[in-house]
Amino acid sequence: MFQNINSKQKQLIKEEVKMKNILICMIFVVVALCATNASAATSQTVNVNATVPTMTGGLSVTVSRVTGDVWTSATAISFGTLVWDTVNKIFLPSSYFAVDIGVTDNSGTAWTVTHTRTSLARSAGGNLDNKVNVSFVKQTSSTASTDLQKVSFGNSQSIGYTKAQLAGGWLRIYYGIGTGDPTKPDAPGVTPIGLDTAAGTYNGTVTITLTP
Amino acid sequence: MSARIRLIGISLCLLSSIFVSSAQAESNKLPFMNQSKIRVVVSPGERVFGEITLDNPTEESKDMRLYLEDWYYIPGGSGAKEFLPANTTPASACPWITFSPAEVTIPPFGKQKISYSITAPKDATGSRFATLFFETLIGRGAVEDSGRSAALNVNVRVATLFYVEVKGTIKRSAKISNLKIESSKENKGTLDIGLDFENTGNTDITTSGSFSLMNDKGIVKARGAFNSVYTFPGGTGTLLGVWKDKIPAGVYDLVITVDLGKALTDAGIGRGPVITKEASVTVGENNQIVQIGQLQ
Repeated sequence: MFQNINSKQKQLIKEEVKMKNILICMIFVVVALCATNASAATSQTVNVNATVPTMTGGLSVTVSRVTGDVWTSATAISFGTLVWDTVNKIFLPSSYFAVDIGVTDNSGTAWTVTHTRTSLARSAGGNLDNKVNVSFVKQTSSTASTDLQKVSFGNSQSIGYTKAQLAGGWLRIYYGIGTGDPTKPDAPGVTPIGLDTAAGTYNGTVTITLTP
Repeated sequence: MSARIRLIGISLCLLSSIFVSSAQAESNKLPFMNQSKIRVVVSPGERVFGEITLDNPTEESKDMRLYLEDWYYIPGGSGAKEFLPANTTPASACPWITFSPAEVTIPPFGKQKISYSITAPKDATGSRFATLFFETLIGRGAVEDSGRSAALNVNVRVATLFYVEVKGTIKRSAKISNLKIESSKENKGTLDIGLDFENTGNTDITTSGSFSLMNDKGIVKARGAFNSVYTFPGGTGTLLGVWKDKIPAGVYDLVITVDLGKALTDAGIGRGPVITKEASVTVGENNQIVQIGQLQ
């Protein structure tokens, strides 16, 4: 009976020792692994590569119609049919337009944005080139700006601004028909549209060019 | 019921705010290109080939029309350019360039390759220039048939400039003269250093220049850079440098270095030549220029 108990106790002790040995081995393995990892972390160099592609000629243009204080999205500059102002005896549109021009370029190129136009003309003859104001403005935020120049549509050919001139902002160009308002003077040479301007449809083109 | 109405109201508000923000953010982005300047050296009678890649970053397809024009630097050297119809200037490279396709529709987030070739005639010499425009019509103005109606179409275009040099025939040279050092009219205490620049070679030149003012012990007391001047053959411009700090009174040696090969360096196809000029400069109290010696 005692012998039986003794042999069972011996077996239990043997198994305990075995377990202990296994545990010790496991601890060794874990410690060894940790040590290997730790040493690897201190000695391995991981190269990180990233290629930034050259992006040049990234031009974005936003056209907005401005009616009073309300700005709405547009694609072209359509003044529509002008309305006779009975007080000032001139034809006026309901809106003016703003064109915002943004440039995206990481090539280091000293780019230039240039404004060119064709005559705002009527097919039967005559034009509105001296009836439309074109104002060039450097916007530094949606509310802060610096006036660059204000010219007649006729004199807005080949007006360019460089990257350096527009640094810290973007170019906005306003197009508005002459009003004769002395508090907001028209550009030199611009006069309002009166009855001396022939009725009809007047069409033209503005081209915004981005060049390196 | 009131909770449901409130929910519908909130949903409508959210929807309307989304529409408003999308309307405000609506802009016409043109595709990017991978090269805005292409400088090619080609032997007489040789043809070279290349590609330009256009990358449409938008979710709308983009229609573009491609065409060649001439260009030149406007006198003054600022780098401002004038564009003219193709084949209207003596230095036009348009007859030497072919490209394909002439009209493209780039799918949303897609790419389009434009292939070009440049062929120099057997008797070609010097340099030729052209620009390839990529043009998109953003919007066609709507005119009405009643009364007085007015509208403007809006076009946008971006350019790749071509500079074609005929191998073995290029002369890159310039004349630098008329040294002026004077107090700035705009900023008191600042010295403006100016020189006249004339392109006497047969190719375009973009300069990169610097100046240094050394005392008799060879110690530099003032140093700065000149603006870049951009010229075509025969073109002129002004090199301008600025020195803002005080220079002790004394006699100095002004050394001016102008690299005529900046465009080659930028294109990664060559270097120089470099022009070095010197002049003796006597500075009095408070940066007063007492005497300027001959530029050598």
